[in-house]
Amino acid sequence: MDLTHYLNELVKRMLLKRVALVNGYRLEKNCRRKLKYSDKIALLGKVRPRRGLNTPGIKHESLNGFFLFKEGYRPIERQNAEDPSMTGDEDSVEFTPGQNHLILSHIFSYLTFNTLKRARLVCTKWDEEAVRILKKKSTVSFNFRDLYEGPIQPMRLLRYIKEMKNLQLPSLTLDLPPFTAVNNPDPQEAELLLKLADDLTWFLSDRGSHITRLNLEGRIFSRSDYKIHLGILIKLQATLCDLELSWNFDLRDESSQDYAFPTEDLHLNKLEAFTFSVRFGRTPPVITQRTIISSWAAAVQGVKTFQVNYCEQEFLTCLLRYEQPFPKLEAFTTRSTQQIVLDLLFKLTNPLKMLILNNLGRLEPENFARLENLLLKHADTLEDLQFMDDVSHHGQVLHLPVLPRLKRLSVGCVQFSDLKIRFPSAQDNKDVVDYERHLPRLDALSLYMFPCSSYALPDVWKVEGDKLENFFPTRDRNGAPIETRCVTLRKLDPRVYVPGHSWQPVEFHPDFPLTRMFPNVWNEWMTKRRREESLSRTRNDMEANSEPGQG
Amino acid sequence: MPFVNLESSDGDLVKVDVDVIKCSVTINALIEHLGLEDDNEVVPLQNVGTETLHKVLAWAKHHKDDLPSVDDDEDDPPRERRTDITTWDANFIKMEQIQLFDLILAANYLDISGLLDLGCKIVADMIKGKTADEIRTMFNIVNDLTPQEQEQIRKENEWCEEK
Repeated sequence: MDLTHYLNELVKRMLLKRVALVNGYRLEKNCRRKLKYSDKIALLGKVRPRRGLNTPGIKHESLNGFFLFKEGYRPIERQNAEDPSMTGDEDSVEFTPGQNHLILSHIFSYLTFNTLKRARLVCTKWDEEAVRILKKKSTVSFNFRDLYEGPIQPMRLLRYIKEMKNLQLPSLTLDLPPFTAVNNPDPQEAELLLKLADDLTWFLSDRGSHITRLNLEGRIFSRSDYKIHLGILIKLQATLCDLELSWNFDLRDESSQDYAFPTEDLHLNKLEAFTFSVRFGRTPPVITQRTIISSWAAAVQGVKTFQVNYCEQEFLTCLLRYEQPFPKLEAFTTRSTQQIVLDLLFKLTNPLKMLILNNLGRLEPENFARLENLLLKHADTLEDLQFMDDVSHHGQVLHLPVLPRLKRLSVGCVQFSDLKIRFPSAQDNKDVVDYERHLPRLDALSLYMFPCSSYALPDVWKVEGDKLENFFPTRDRNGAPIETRCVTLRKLDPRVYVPGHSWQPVEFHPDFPLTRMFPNVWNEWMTKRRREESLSRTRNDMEANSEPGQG
Repeated sequence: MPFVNLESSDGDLVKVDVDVIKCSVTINALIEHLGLEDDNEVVPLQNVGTETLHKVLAWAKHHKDDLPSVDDDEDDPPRERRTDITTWDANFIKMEQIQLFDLILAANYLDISGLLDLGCKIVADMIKGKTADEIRTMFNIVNDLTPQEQEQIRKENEWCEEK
């Protein structure tokens, strides 16, 4: 067994462990080998006798050596069937962006989606790496809603299978038409629908095992439509990790029991993220709606991430019937924050890492104390907190707790919002934020404002900045100047929505000490602000230096 | 103040304050696991030339007091990946392409994430907005894709929509 082979076997057992103990084998200093798949191993420094084994009378050959191991790129399909033979190339490794997969992967992580597509066309290695990243960021959409316009859309399934035989995208969006024949009396249309159902079955049989994310959209007129959608889910159930249901029920029959969830056939055991975007266009019998919603509430109890976009009241009512709803939930998002949202969140037993609450306007004033208690309950685990207020609360105050793990905070104030954000006060800071104490790990801060359209952009902060000025404190409770610093923050995004101009960065006064407050924020506008401050200082210095001469 | 002796691939020895080079996971691990109490101990860096090593040390010295970087997932969406560069870094990284590649290789070898991020952001900037032909010319890359393979990639790209 030569040294290279020996080290390769050793590395297989000790992947990523940087210290290797080699018994009974005296290694040469500075030995370095290139292994197969571009893996590299290097022995740094000397090999030393192992410490602590110098027991009198016991002879040993133990040595300590420090290895640097770098794992090279290897295609997934080769990882499970490695050939122990070595490549014999011992030349020193060179680097260009096209020759090192580890670094290439790092570079590509900064490329936009379309640039990644172009990068695929450079060479084989670039294609292999770019396509690996693209697969994770891509989805394929089939919109059959306009089926009646012609057979082009269904043909896309065939074309997809043909053209994408080497690239299996794991994310799929399906927008289906109602299949119910009674609504499509035209025989040609009915035939097209029948063919679509067949094509879908064939397509999912071919590609279903690769799909881990699905957004299933469509109008549902009847129980047979619903069963077709459920049939699609059953085909994908073994792999689905992320599911969004975007159904629009427009039920035209009244057989409620037929909408029951067929739990005996559907087991979403791998599902981790679930988004409920289901609407009921024509009000169905209450029992039908309840049957559908409660069956879905039962089916997704194991998820870690849950988002509800419609029918909050109905869905959360079902969830509240459970003694321990969502026992693994880590992330919760709602478009509309109502009392029932707080009821559910209080019932959760698993600590939350992410909480997104929009439209606080539906909360009654007495619920703000509950919201504060809720935030306190999850304060030690929250990493991502977002909330958006949309109405006047007549001076309502929201006290945020100390959030020791929070990395991302996003706060939005719609035009009439007057919610005041407060932090636990200390001796000198009067409820304003002390980043080091209140948000010691904050990495990203986003602030959104929707002011009256009559304000000019530079005036927005002057007029409405009091809503969010607690995040930029410059004075203590006695009005004396204080210096605020947040060294952990690397992303600052205060934005204002200007009708006609979309989102714009908030324009702070040039003298506002923003760059000193956030020394590690280096986005485009902060860099520009620093440059202007630097120029201004230089100008002032020159003027100051020129004064004595003039005198 | 503890020091460590680094030997470049050119055979030159550079004595470095341990506090400066602690940003290198490789050297940090070496110090931690083997102990380098002997000031004459030499750490050979086969992949790092003298000129590059001095550049690495200049960067490390400037960033000696930086906070540990927040873990960014390489596969995060672009809007989540930070592309901001400080003024000092922007001036520091102005160098010839070959020097830049040597620096990236050294950052990778020494496992200095901040410097690797910086180098990769710059190379990514060089790639942005360029056609495949322009990228090949810039990096002297041989096109080993057949016309049929390129056509297949174009077809596949058409199907891929951003999530």
